[in-house]
Amino acid sequence: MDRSPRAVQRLLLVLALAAAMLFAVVAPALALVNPQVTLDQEQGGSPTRFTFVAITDKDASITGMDFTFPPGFDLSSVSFDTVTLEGLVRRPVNVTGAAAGETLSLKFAPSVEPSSTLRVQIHDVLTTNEGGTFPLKIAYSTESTATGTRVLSHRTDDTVKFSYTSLSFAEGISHNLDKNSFVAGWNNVKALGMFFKPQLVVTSIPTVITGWYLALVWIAFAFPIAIVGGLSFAFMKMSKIPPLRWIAAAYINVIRGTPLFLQIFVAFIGLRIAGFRVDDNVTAVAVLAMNSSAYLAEIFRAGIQSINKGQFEAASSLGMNYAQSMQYVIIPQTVKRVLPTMTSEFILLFKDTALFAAVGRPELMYQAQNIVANTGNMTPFVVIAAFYLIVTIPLINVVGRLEARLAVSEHGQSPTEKTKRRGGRLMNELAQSVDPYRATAPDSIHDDNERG
Amino acid sequence: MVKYGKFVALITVAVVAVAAFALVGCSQPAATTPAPTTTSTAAPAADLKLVTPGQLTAGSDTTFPPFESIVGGVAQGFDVDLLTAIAKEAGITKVVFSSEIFDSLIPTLKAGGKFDVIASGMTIKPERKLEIDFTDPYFDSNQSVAMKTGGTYTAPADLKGKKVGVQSGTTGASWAVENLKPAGATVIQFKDTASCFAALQAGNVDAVINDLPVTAEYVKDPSKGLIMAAQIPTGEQYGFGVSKDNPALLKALNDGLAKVRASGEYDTIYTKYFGTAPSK
Repeated sequence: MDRSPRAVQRLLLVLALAAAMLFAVVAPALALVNPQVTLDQEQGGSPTRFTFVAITDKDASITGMDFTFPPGFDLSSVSFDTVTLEGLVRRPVNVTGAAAGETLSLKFAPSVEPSSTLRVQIHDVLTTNEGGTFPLKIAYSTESTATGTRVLSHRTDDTVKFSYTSLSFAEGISHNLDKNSFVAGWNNVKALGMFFKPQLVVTSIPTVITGWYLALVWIAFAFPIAIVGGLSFAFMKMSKIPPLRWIAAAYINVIRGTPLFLQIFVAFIGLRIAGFRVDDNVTAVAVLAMNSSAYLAEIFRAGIQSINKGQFEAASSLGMNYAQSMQYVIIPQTVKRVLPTMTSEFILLFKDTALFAAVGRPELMYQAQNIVANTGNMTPFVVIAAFYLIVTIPLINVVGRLEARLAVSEHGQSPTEKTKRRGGRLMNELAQSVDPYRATAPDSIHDDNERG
Repeated sequence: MVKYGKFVALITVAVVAVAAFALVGCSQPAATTPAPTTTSTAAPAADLKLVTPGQLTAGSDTTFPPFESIVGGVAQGFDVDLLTAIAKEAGITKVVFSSEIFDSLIPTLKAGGKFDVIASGMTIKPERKLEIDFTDPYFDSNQSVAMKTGGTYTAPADLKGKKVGVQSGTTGASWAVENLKPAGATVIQFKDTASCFAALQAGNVDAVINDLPVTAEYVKDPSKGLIMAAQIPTGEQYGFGVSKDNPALLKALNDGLAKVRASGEYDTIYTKYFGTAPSK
């Protein structure tokens, strides 16, 4: 039974030995150990910086290197810089070089010492639009001192692989815009180019939209939770049981009395250093819901308390208990009154998601900041402003309408001119004639949602 | 009763202390903190087009010890001492450090009017040279990988599926995006180095890529539970950044730097912050 694994082991050993011998024959001692190349661009079709890093072999100095790029790469505007290090200490190196076709040839004087790190950065290599994995062919001349005498040798058969993805649709549009003379003129006007660069509008949308989705998902979970929490705290604060009142008051005061920014840091840094950790998105939703529930609690409480006491008395005279009068009489009227303020709170909460950029959560602000940091252009901020406004402007409009409707139903007329235009004078006169004496103002609740 | 009295007294003391602290804080603008200044008899500054005449204002991300950090309301560090020494050679006796966000340093310098020079451990890079001028290099640096105690790093593949924190706009950020992202790591960008290391301590990221001397400083305190898991030789060099519109200041700083190097004062400052003289 235990024979077969041993047999497999032996076979593997033999195979490994054979492979090692074969390798030893085919590949003599390399002059470069662990050569690697990395790219600063993830997509093809744009000027790219190639960073080549290798450690020179312990018995060979490098006197020159040729980098041959795949066919179709454009080296016409290429530049390069070279660093050699012994351990972590930088060593001076003189490099001369020139590009011809797809090959960049470098000469080192003095030669690069054995066992040192060689870093060559090749700037502005124009890659092909089509992505894939490509070979970078490296040929180099060495001065070997292994045998005591200087032996010049030349190797041509080394390659390192690199890959990138195809030019994306947005980048493709951006490249076409680069060629457009109107766009060039537009960007030459400093304010336009700095805040409304068409290329960046196009390329930043696919990135920032992921942040927009994330913020919307957070809010979609956080706001309903906040409504339930807010109602609970509102009833606790109006409770006849003192400890419940105290807990609610403490919670509401602490949350409303401290910046959301601080609460985010406590949740994402403080609590986690203390060992309390839940999923990042769950934490974000929890922070938003907890914050908003404190504000909503005050909105609901003010809304409920703004209902005339006579309504309670009327309800109980009909034989309703507290729960029934709340459910059938008070709450329906409250909902109508708090809807505008609640919507405003929703708008505030949505905008507040931007604060999570500080703890590296990839929402809208975070995405825009990164692009701005990389490009030095403010256009992504304008783009995300549009994404915020897509959500907030319609809601602001809704708040305005709700307020106007509320004013009509409560006062009999609108405090703004809006309803006059919409409903017409007749409607207002009608409303007034139906109920001319209900001028009791529930206005106190409208100002309750201001944030410092 | 006695118990409560003591409690109230304690709270009163605390409130008064906080208020006093806040007042002191207000009297001194938090953003601009004067560096230690020296009086000298050097030649008066030529027309260097300084934002505040007679004073060199430096823009700096002051969460970058040992190069620049705010200690007791005052900017201190290698860059602060070196720039002060250079300015003295150029005939400027007052150097003021203004705290800025790192990735906004270059746009702010280009826009002008806020500070004269970037002194923020900024690596001289071709991309940055398109935007601003740099003085001659004044410090050789490298990159590093910081992790929680017990973490190991030998190759980018070790961070596959992990989160890596970097400071936005830095060479460490570029390195991480080029080397770790293709290996399957998620790179998360923060506004300053302090936030990176706070996130590492909190476990929000699994590693931080940052300039080696700064990481060495951040992991020094063993109570943080952080280590430098790897050194990455990049051979980058720091330079002071100057607007392309101000070649006179660039020349004055380069001349000053050469003098400070020649006089041995550079070595003195270097030894003060890094314990050993710079390797030649």
